[in-house]
Amino acid sequence: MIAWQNPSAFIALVALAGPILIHLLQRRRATRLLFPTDRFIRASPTGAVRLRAPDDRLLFLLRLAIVALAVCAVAQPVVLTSGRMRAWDSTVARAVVVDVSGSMAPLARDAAAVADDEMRSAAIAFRIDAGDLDEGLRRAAAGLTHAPPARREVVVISDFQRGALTPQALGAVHATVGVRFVRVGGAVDGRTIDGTPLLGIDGVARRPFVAVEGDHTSVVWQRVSSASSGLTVRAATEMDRSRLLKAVAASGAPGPSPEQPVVVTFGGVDAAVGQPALARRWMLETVLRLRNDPDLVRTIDATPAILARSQDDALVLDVQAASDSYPAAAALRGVLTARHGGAARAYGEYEVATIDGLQLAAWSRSAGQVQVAMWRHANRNEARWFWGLVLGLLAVETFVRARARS
Amino acid sequence: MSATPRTLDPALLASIGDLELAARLTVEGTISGLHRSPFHGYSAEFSQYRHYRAGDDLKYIDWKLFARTDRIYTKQFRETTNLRALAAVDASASMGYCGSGAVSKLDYARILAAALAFLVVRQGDAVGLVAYDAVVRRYVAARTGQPHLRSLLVALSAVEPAGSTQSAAALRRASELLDRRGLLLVLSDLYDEDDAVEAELRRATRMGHEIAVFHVLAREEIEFPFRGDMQIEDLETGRTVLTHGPTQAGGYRERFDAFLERWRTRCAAQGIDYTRVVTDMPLDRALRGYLLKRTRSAAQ
Repeated sequence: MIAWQNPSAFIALVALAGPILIHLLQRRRATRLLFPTDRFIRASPTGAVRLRAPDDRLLFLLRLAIVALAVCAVAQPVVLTSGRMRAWDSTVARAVVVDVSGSMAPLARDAAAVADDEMRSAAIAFRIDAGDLDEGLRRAAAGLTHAPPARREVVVISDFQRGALTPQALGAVHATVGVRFVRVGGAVDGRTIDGTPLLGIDGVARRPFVAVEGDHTSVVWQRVSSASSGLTVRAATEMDRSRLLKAVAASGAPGPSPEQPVVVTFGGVDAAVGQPALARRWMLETVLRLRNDPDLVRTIDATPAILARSQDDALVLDVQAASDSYPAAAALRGVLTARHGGAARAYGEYEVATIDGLQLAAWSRSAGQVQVAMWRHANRNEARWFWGLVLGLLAVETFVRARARS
Repeated sequence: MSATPRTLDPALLASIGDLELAARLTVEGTISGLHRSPFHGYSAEFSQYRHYRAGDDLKYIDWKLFARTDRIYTKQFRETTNLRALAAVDASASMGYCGSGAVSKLDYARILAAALAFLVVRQGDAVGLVAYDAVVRRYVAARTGQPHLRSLLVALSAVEPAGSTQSAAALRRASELLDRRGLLLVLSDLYDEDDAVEAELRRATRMGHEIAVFHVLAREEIEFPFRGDMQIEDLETGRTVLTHGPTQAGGYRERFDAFLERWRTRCAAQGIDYTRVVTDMPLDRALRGYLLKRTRSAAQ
């Protein structure tokens, strides 16, 4: 069976009309010939008419064949034999989709090594780096559509965080294309994450416990049990204090620690000059962090002056701002953050659940056999043989023409 | 060593200019190997005996002498001929056709007629000439001898192709000019009214003349190898026909072959020697073919 990769080239068969029309329509001047007698000659009924059969049929047929074969060569013929189909079946065209989302950053080297192995073992391979695996799958499927004839396969390399792949994206991949998943970094199917204790509105820290199981996540808050919360806020009024704590708690500030008690005063309420400053190392670190807290410097219109000292193993910070002011809330949050050592991550969101292995196995499928329709993208075709025939016929035509002339 | 070429190219002979030389070359290239004169007269006189040699005609063996001597002898005769030959050369315009070669049909016929005349004169017979188209344009009475041959060849050289053919009248005149039984050599392309010509040939036969027709043709007339559109002009009538070579060639050849076959059968029916000669044939071969045929028929 012969298939044509570029059937639109057959439009060029119109070119065949060229030689035909030239032969049929060209006006030829009749040659005057003196002849002994006209008694055996009949006036040709087509003699004065333009349409007539070609004079030299061999040359005419040769030229038609040359044009026709050239058109066939441009049409890129592919001969589909069982041997060729078997050869196509023994090769693999592979699209390797590598997850490059944030969670894969620590696993990038492993992923690259696996991807290299996968690409080396395929006759035709290309790599797609995708932050979104669904999008990567779609690109891979589209890329394989134009791949040369071979068994087609998509290999997805990822840590397979839950939600990274959807059945819809897999459904977009043609059924004959195999899909395989290679996990890097090991499976984390279900666990409980201890979150950072956060400040509650009552000034006491609460620790979130994030349970990731199956396809849902639940959070349980647990009050950090201690006689002292580790935070003392001295505002002008109780209302100011309550509002201040609500505002700072709502902003997600880290909770205080009973082991590192902090006392925050506002407006010089409890200023005590001459007290020993910063008796503990954590106090010094907290103050230094507070001093360098870019959020505090950037977000407050007028950065309040904060005086630090230690008193009874507690860090006392005197904030030169009214307790009902915005700088006061910012300063309180800054103090808690500085003591904690950085911003709180309540949910440990960088460690989510992954798609379990059974699900991935269910989604996997092997590559189907090469489809006949794939010949359209074959790298090699029989055009060269047709061009050879064209050259051969051109030589014959030249020979015949030379012989006719002689 | 003989200087005569193996085959006599008509173009070469035509280019010689000296018709006598051309005729001599043709004849010498032709008659070598012929055992006896191709032209027989009408009486023969005993000359001598000779020992029989293989290949000798048995009818000349003297059986009485064999009975007496137990040896086989062959009788030899000296031919005393009184043959009168007349070459009737068609000099109409159609005979001026050369085709793709350098020799026109008239040139070819001229050399052939000269060679025949040379042969006849060489064996001591009389030969004459009639060149004709619609009428007899040139007439040389049949006589013997080299001087006469030269004057005949001069007259033959002066003939140019012109006019239309009306062979019937010319042949009637020629057969009348042969005042007693003789040999009429007709060299023509026979593009004429066939029936009238045939009637005249039949009449000449009845008059006791021996007739040999040389149908002189060019290769192009037989094969019609022309391509493309052509405006064909008849050399004799000046009529033009517009035709297309490749499409008409088949029909032309069919009609022409029928024409040739018709002439061949007509001549055979009348006991006329019919020889078709084509202007690209070597002249010696053309002449030799005729002479061999004539020798064979004479032997019978």
